[in-house]
Amino acid sequence: MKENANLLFLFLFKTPIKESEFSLAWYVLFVFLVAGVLLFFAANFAGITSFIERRIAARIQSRVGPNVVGPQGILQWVADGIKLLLKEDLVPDRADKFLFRAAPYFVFSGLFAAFVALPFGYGIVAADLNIGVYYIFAITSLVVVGIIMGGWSSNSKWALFGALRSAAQIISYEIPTALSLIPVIMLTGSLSTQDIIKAQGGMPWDWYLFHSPFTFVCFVIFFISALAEGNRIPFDLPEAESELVSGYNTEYSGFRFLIFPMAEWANLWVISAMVTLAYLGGWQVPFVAIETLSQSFLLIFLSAGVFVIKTSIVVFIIIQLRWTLPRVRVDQMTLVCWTYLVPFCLAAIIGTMIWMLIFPWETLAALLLRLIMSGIGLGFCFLYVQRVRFNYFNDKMAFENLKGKSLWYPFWRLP
Amino acid sequence: MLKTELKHLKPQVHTFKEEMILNMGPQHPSTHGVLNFLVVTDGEVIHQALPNVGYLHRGIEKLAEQTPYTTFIPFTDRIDYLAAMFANHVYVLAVENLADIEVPERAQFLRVIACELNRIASHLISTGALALDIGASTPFVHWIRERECINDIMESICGARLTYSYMRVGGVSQDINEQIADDIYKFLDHFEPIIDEYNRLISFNEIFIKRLANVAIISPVDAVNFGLVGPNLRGSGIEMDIRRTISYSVYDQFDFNIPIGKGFKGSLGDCYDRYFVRVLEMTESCSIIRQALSQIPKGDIKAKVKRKLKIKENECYTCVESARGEMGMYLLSDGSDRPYRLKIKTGSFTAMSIVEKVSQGLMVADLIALIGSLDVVAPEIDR
Amino acid sequence: MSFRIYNILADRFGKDTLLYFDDTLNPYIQVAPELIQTLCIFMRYNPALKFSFLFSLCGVDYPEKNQITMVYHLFSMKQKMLWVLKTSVRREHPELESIESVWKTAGWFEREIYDLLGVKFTNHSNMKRLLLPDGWVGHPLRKDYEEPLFYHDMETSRHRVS
Repeated sequence: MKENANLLFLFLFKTPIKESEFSLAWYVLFVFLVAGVLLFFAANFAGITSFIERRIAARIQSRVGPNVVGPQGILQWVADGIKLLLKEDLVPDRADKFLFRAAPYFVFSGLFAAFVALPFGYGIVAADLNIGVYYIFAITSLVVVGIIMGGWSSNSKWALFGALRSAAQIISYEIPTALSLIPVIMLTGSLSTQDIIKAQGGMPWDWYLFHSPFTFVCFVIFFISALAEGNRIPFDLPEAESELVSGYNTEYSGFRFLIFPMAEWANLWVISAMVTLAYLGGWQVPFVAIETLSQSFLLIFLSAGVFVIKTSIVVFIIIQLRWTLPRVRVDQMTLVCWTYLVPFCLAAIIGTMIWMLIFPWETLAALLLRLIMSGIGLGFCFLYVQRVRFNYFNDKMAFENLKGKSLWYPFWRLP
Repeated sequence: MLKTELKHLKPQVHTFKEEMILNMGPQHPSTHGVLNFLVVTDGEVIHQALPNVGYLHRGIEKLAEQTPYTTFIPFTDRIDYLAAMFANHVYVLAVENLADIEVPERAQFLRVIACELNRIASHLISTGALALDIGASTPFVHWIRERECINDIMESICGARLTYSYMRVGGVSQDINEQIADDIYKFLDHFEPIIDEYNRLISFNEIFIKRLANVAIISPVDAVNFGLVGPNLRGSGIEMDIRRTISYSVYDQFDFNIPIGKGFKGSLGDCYDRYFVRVLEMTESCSIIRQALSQIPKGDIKAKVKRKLKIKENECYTCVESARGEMGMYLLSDGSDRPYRLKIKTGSFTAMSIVEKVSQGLMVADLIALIGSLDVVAPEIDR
Repeated sequence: MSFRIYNILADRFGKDTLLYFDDTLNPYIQVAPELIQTLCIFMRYNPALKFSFLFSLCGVDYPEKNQITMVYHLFSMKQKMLWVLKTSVRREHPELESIESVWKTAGWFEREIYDLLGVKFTNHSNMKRLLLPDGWVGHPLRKDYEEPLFYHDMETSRHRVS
């Protein structure tokens, strides 16, 4: 952090910073600058993702999504945000007014603080903490405090139900989430997010995902439990709109309500970035060694691009899952966690240990096994694409036969 | 007003220390209309769920006593807005029975075609809404898309998309031509494979099965005792279909199966059985429509009926198999041009009365699944 | 067919208590109100009859005869036939024994009749209004019912816009 601040000072004023009482002010200014950039990114990501998700959902459901505000509806999220900002800030009668007003701050700070330790590219990270991964877990748990506060204080039974479900869910799923990252940490020997990425490579067989069958299992468990922590379908129990009117945010309105969905979509990035950095090789660019990566700005931007693309793919898959799957029941949710995920995760940790002893990373046998594993992974991807393609063409043919006209239209346009 | 009602309801609910009263509806996303449940829960577990109906009571039975026979038909559309054709059908059947009117063969076939199309449309909404209640929103929208095709066909048949008023005393209002018959064939060819696609999407989804199988089991004995009808009764394994048992109209000329629940993924009479019976029934309806279209005779579509219909003193009970089960009308005439009394018996009414018994010990999320699987439509309960 | 069933019933209850009418489309039996529960139990559980479904239960108001008639529509899967029972109660203080113990579904039908026609059913588990609000005055399906002009200080008249 300090070095980057020094560098920026040098870049701006063409003179190295001197140690004085004013240098501290510069550092503080720099911290605010970084925070502003992160906040800008997170808020805009949340907004744009809300629009993109609605468009993807419309595609999946073969209906028309938002397409009025701006070209192809691209400004819909801005309109929604402005509308919610202009709404009256209602506090229900007989609610605990202080807690009710304070709850969104907890949700907000809990999620946006996680962005501090998230990497975006080679060297592009606000704070490369040496406890990075666990910092993210700890700080995102603050969200549940906000949700419980909001649900409890709003004096509504639906909100209370949502809050209690949320507490049960996040506390349960914190455990498999953390446990399933232990193999990654063992392989790296560090908790720092940058170190975890640096220990992997650009090509699929250098990713931790394909290190061994055990890490593959851990990846699946991590993905599932991260979904649960992010309140995404099939685990969106705290705000199950068909059961608990809107869950913990039932009574909120205006900007305070806006915080909750915004945090949810920002959380989408946190989940996907965690999956990417831990298992999918992070910002590692294929065919480029880490040593050469640091030498040019172009390559650093390329690494950021790779990271964003990988994360976006994960985001897309999460969105697709949301619009495909039903919701589990609350007892099934905890049952899955405690009877399947946690034991499997523990077994996978032990399995990874043994695997690490038998096949160390550099050996030829390990490389071969990783190649085979990535081949299997590629097979899964192929199967997934085939299924989607089959269903898509089935549906398309059926409707073209019925309506007698082509239903194809470019993906950036809506009819 | 709600407060006063709740005050009356409260004494019959004995709450213990751990219990709380949850007031579900009338403004709740998944009560399928305007319904209110007074749910006594301990955490997520329901101890008692008392349905409180009547929010959509429009007094259709009273209106019938003041309306001439032939002009009452549009009112029957409003009894069940998702399956208006059946209410039309049962009403005109009742009047024809009383007035002893012979309906032309072609009109009867047209009625069957319209009814079965409407049955598919209604089941589409029902199964889709169940999936929506479970949390999967895509199947519902896909089913709405299919229903749109049926609505288009209905529009070309009778000019309306929801409240059809298609039937007339003594026949139907419009004939179908080659073009419409072609459209219906085309739709059936399109729709039958779509059911498989839908099954792949949601019916055999593991989470969906886990949510519905072995939930809210209604035993055959209870089903008869509580007077369940239609798919709800057949979901409990009782092969009872008015189309077969009391053959009305021309249903005896068609060959179709009556799907019954067999405990497809769980035990007999659970939510999944009731759901899957509906899915299977859509296929049967398709086959009935095909047979009806191929056998339809030429001829008149409407018998000569006096404009001012007067029926001498008589009474009859007529029932049809509606999308929500047996829908009956008890019509009493007294010699004037309007009914002396019209009693409308609907499937949702009896289905609603079983909720209180079955819901004990379920979770809040299961109550939603139960209501969805019983396929209640609020205006049909209240009339 | 229907006469055979009437004979079974007459053997059990005697011909004087059951009046058989077949001038309507659905022949029916008129019985005294005291007998209705026993008759329902007999018809439901007798192995020769097995009228296991209660299709409908409704009340009809006859002001000129000063009585309210209950109409029970029973259905038997075994015989594939509909059977109609009728019983009449006086209009002033109509009371009748509930058949909720025979068919559970009668519970709601009876509540509806109580709501719309004002017949009180004894031995009913929850004799309350079903469709109308609890504070409603009068029973709308009675022929002499007059719509109140005001409900909770709200005007109900459709003819005048104030």
